Amino acid sequence: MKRFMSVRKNIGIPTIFNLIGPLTNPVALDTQLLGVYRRDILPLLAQTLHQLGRKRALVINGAGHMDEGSLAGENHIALLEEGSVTSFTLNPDEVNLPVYDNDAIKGGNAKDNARILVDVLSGKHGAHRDTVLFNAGLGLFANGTAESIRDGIRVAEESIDSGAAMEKLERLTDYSKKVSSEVI
Amino acid sequence: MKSYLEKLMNRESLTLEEMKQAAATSFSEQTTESELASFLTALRVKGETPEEIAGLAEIIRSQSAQTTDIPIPLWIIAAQVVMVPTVSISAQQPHLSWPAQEPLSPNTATAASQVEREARMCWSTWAFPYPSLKNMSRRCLRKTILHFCLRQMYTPP
Repeated sequence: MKRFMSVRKNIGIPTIFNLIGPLTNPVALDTQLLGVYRRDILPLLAQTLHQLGRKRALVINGAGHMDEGSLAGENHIALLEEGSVTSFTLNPDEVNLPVYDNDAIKGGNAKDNARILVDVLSGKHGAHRDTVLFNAGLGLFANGTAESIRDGIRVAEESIDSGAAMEKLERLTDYSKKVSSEVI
Repeated sequence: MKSYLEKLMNRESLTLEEMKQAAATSFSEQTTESELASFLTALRVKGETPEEIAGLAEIIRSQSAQTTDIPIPLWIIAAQVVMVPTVSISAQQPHLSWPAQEPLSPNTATAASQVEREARMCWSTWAFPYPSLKNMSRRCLRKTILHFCLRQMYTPP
């Protein structure tokens, strides 16, 4: 592996190694939502996920070349479904979400980001919430739990507004506190 | 490796199995750096197929599973099955109580010996008593636990 890395460095052109980063997840997955910075390799990666045994997968390059779903405009998507790949684009208005500039969801330091997370899960409206809904919807659709991206967004909305998402966060916080106090 | 390289030079793609074979061979030091460089370049020039990318990804996955830096799942298995210590602290002195030890299954025994090996390494670099058990980084905590395990295995209460 080390020799491979030095060879990679020496030849200086992008190689197959630039493509496989997100594909080496140690957990064996059935379904996957995958964000990538490059737009030209979406179908290639979706086909690769098929080879790796994924039953469903959604590979996305967001508006502004983000490696996740973005509400700033057109998102490029390759969907793996029952062994075949279809490509399409998706605009925020197609899923009834407003358009926001990518700058509107900039994060900050750990404390800022924690506050943003709690705000979103408490039901605060705005660019952060809508982006979370969008990406959660994509994830639920990629997984097959939701029949469409719109459905996925609806499920995500319910999860936040009913307090279920916040409860999950609290359980996670409690668990991690419990574990660390047991260890110490 | 040569046959794969020739195939690529003829602009033919490798199958999933061929790619896995080629990747495994390359990782096992049987290939020179120039062969590796030619291999990667030839793939790039031909254009990588999903089978080739998947083949390499699978080999890397299986390799990294074997050479994980710190075997977290292992010590969890070991800590849960072999020994679940209750830790209490008084006056900055950690104290562990251990349940009675049961016969080990082969898997658990392997895990335990891994923990032991790693803990032995920690032993030499870590000094009691711990200055502060609060605000420890996760890595430090892991080291501490491993140290505890070792300490208890060699000097049971």
